[in-house]
Amino acid sequence: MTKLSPLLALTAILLGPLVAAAPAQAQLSRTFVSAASGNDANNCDRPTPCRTFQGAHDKTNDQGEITVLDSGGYGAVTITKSISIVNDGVGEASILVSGGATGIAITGGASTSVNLRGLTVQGIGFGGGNGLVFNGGLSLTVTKCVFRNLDGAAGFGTGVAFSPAVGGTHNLFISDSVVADNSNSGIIAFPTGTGQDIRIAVKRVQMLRNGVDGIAVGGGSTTGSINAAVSDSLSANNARFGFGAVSVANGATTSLMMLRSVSANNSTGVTAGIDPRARLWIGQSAISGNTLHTWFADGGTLQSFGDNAMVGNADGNPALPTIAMK
Amino acid sequence: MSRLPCDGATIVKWRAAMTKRTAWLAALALVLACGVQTAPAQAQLSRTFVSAASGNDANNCDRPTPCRTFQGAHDKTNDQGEITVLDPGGYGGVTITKSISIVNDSVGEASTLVSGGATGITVSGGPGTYVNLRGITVQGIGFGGGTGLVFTGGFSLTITNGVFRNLTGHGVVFGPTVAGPANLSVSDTIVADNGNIGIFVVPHANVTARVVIDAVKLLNNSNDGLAVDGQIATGTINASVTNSVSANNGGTGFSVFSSANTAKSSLTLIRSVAANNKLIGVGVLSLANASLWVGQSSITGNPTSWSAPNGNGTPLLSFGDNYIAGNGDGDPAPPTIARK
Repeated sequence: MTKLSPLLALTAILLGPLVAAAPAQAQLSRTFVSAASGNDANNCDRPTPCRTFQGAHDKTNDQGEITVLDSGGYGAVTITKSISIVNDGVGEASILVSGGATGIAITGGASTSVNLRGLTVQGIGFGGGNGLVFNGGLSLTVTKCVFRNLDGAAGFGTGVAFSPAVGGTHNLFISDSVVADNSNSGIIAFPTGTGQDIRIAVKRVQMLRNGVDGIAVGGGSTTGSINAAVSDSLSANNARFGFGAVSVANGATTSLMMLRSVSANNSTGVTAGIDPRARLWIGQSAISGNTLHTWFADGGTLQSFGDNAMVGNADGNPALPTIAMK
Repeated sequence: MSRLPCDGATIVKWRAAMTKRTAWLAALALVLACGVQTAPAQAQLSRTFVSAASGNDANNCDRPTPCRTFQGAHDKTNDQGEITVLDPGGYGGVTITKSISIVNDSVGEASTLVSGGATGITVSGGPGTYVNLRGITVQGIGFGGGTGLVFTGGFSLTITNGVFRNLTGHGVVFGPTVAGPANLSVSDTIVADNGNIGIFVVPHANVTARVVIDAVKLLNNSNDGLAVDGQIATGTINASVTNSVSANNGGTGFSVFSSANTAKSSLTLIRSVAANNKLIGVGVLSLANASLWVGQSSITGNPTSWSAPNGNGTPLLSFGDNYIAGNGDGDPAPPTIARK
């Protein structure tokens, strides 16, 4: 034993750091979900996948990824860590929302990065709910997703709500996605708390036939800044504004750059209000077929780069104040 | 091996000498050696398959018996062959040393997880190596992190529908170390959430580097979204970026730099967006040999919209048709160059 003891001690030293570095539970960095063969009692590895996003999320390491194996429904998920959920063309991977639920809720910490690809969130009535609600985290990247047909009572029916409550940097990127047929707005960013630094980029997104606005960013309930750049996108057939930036005196500086996009057949094409710190610039875009206003500068800063196509709107397509291209 | 006399005249001479027993053995050895040289080192296929569901690297990687990993398939694929992904899953890191195509055409996520300071995909081919990658995800998972893709040698690398994210280092490094031409094309790809630069073009030799980037999203990287750096190369680096977004990065959205005696480096940025970066939207970040042209693009939400040093002609030029507003510096007009 006198000779064995140092060996045991050495073993303990060698194992110690390994144990410390391992996750608190036996978790994997790559997990799988299958609607065909999954079971949440599994460990979610490739031969024995889990059944739901939540089941897999809870068994995936921070910074890990969940891979969808086949088409089907995977249930609502609350994301609390850095994770990637990816369906790369294996069939529809969807979350059905009812009963006032939220399809995807993200409540991460200050360094949480979430990546979602190829997911559908669809309301099915029966009390409806919201599609995706981001309450906390550093960044969210959404590609090739669909958020549609959400409805319900007041506070429900929004496609994507980017609304962090704790001040700090929060990044959102959405591309190649459809946000449609929701009873409330398509995409909104209305953060709360103070000292927000909200950075948003949207590319190739279609916001269609939503019950309020296509896309709206609002700094009225926070301080700091909200900067959004939207390009190559389409906001059409929505009941109120196609594109909107709103803030108030003492609110956050709230900016939206709309480039190479279309605002068509809404009530009003674009708006900025109710304080000059709400700013919206439009370049190389079309505003047409809106049934009330081409644009509505409700005390905000609303400027055109002078190269937009504004035709067929009910108010006769008045020209906007311009800002020079550089 | 490369010095064996395998030309026909030598072999005829050896055949003539085969009457001598010792010479016959030597000739046989030579013929076998020459045979090995012309055929692949093993029985290899030009089309191989990988499957996370049923693959095994002891297989020959054909359709009924696929391999399990990219590296296993790479090593059993002929030069100029291709690896087809059969189903979703993890396929491990790979070092590519020959012309090859690795394709996942939407059968599900085909990914490489990176930890322990590793590199997900390394391309280190010879001057004639063409590499094509489609539908591949490289993701860092912590535990020491690493780098997404590093190109050190080859004639060309084409990446489409890729994802490089959550690495602690750079997402993609294009750093040829061999003199000569080197081509990079990246399209429809996301490079996000990395701890350093998203796409880093940084040749190490006397190169003619040609880079084209289309419909690429560079997001939330801690340093620059795209950086073209000629400081440790000579020759020329020409990069064209179209229809791309560089947003929410910790450094500059699109940057180019070099120095007086290093590679002439240029970046043309068209129909793209530089938004919400924490330092500069677009910038020439050195005094000499670097230039940037920007047209039909939006620069918004950056503390500094654009930056270029004085005293080196006009290293940053706008075509006068950019959408520059909402930056912290009051959106000064850059010097212009005429559209033609």
